Amino acid sequence: MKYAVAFTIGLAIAAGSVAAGVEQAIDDQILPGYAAFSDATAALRQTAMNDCTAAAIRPDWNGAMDAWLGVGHLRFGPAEAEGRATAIAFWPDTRGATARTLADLLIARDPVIDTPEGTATLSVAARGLYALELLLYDPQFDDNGAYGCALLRALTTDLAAMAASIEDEWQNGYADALRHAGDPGNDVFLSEREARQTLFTALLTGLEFIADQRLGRPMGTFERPRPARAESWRAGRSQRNVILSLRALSGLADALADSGTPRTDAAFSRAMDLADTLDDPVFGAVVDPTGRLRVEVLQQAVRDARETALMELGPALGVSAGFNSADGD
Amino acid sequence: MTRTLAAAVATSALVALPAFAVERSDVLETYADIAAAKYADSRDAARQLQTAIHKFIDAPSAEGLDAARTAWREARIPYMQTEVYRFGNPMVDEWEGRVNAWPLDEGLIDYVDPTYGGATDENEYAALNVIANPQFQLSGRTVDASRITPDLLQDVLQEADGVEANVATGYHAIEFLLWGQDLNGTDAGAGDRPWTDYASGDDCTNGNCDRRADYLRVVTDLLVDDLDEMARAWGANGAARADLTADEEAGMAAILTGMGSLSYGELAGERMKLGVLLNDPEEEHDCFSDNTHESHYYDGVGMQNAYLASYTRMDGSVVSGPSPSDLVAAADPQVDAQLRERLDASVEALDRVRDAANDGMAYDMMLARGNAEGEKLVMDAVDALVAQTRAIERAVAALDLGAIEVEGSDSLDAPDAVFQ
Repeated sequence: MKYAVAFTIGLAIAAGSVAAGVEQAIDDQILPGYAAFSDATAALRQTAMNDCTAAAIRPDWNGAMDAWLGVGHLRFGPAEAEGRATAIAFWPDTRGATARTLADLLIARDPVIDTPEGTATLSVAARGLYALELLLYDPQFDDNGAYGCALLRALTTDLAAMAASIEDEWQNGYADALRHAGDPGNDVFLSEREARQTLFTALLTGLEFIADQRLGRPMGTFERPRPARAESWRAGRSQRNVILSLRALSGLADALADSGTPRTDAAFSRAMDLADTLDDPVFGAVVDPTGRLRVEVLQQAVRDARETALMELGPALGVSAGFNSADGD
Repeated sequence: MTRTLAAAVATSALVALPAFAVERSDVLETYADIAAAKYADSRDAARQLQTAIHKFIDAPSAEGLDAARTAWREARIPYMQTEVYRFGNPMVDEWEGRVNAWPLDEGLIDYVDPTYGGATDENEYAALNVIANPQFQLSGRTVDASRITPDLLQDVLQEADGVEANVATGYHAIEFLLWGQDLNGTDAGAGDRPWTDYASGDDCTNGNCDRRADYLRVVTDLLVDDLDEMARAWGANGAARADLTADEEAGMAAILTGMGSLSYGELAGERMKLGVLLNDPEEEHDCFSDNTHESHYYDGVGMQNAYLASYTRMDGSVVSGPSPSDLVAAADPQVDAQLRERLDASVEALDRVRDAANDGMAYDMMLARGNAEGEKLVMDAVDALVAQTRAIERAVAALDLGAIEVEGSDSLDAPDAVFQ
């Protein structure tokens, strides 16, 4: 299916309720979500400034990760600008670039991190939440002395700055552009349909990411399961990431169409129930057939939620799926 | 003569009238005609490459290696223009990995520098080196590789152990065998494999020159065969043409899907933006030869000539006809004008990258940390491709393209089943 962007035919419903869906998504999901992420990363930075031991920083790192999962599917506009979303969340890392780039920095004691401007020029593999996870949880990065401490402070400062920029740009311009899609002079969204399509595409892409990456990577093939490819396994929160991202996507779907999509609601409920009750925090059980099957059942439920939204919510919004950044290889 | 000419003009004006309303079926046929021409050109250019490589292997020399490298660069020109067909047409997408899979863990194929490292968590066979090893263990069984055969490359080594980075066939495998690793990082310089890697007897460098030559010969022959297969698939009775033209609405959606997915997720995202964000020269599409600027440019040209339905063949002749642009213009002239403008803009931006590379700032140098000028060149092209994608989405809406091949699912077809 990687080649197929499915276009479903539009059956536009009354424009009023649809515009309300966009408004509700902005006010109930997007703006509070980015405010929470901005707050959580500011707290993480403050903690790292006060005490840069891994033990001290871990709880706030988890808080920032939780907050990111509330907005990580909204990879357009301010999050896409300057590659911010990629720098905040560089995963999956299929070529081991994060460990390699961090190790290079530590060996060289590279002074590029002495200023925020310098840190911002680093490879995205060495920035953001996943680079921090490696520094905080992987034994190979234990005890890097003063430079290790400086690196944690530089990366948390950089992360907080990116989160603040995204929030600021949403508050001061981008939310208005989305709200007033199709107004004269609005060259971001030329019609209300484009605003709905952008959010709808984010919903579908987010579900695809959970199924293909968060679940699909550790599943590997039946003969060759790959538990070490699970997301955030070092921090022990692979399953939690799935639960929280599903919850956020369900919220977005609700906001977009608060009534009249019973199949979509049911498909989300089923996927969330399965995710909640899995009891396999890092998907380690994929190595045995029964454990793998349980993850596969969840993966199928997430794919069903996507297809159901495509067939039911899409027509209700009068839009089809747009192109997304996962359309390539 | 003047009278004849006038009559001819009058006739063509008359027959042009009914064509004023462009038919979707004519647009689809033209699209398939152009695809057939591009794949035939790709196959013919690959045959030139094959000739150059056979000549080089038969009598290795520095000049022979240079000639093969030049032929490889030439062969990329028509091929990259076919990439626009990939994402919309299932047959092409399933086949594509055989000819253009990327990125690759080249240590699977041949010797590599010590800094490359060995097996990784992701790929146990990243440093297998089949050229040096006539026998090896793969996924729990012993493989006899004493002879380098097409089966060994395409059925055993390609995507070995289910890892996509195990690339044994296609342009990039050939590229590695002609250039070798580019060990210059983000500094100037491409791969610099000595021609003596293919020399016989005591002149042979880096060992196993015979097996290396066998590999190069077999992998090049496979490329020609694979391209020939795809050229036929778009011919008069070919399966890819039949798939495209079976349903006019689905066919039009396939055309625009191919343009949009290549513009955004693949070229702007995976191949360009990610490399800048990672500052990683390994993220360059033609990383051994430093030919990336040309490949990206011809991707852009291929999207433009698919939309305008006018392709200039390698021999200078032109294949053209009713275009997707004509159809979109009939539905909404503004949408068509915007898309044409943005295609122009992205081709221009990609051309600026190409100019800079030809003036000495190679594509991998543009990816260096702190190279603001290089980053701007690449990101301007990325932005142009993203803007073009939005215009393609508007064209999809303007043509009011309906549902294509949405697979059924339990939750829709049998709502109760999901709760069992």
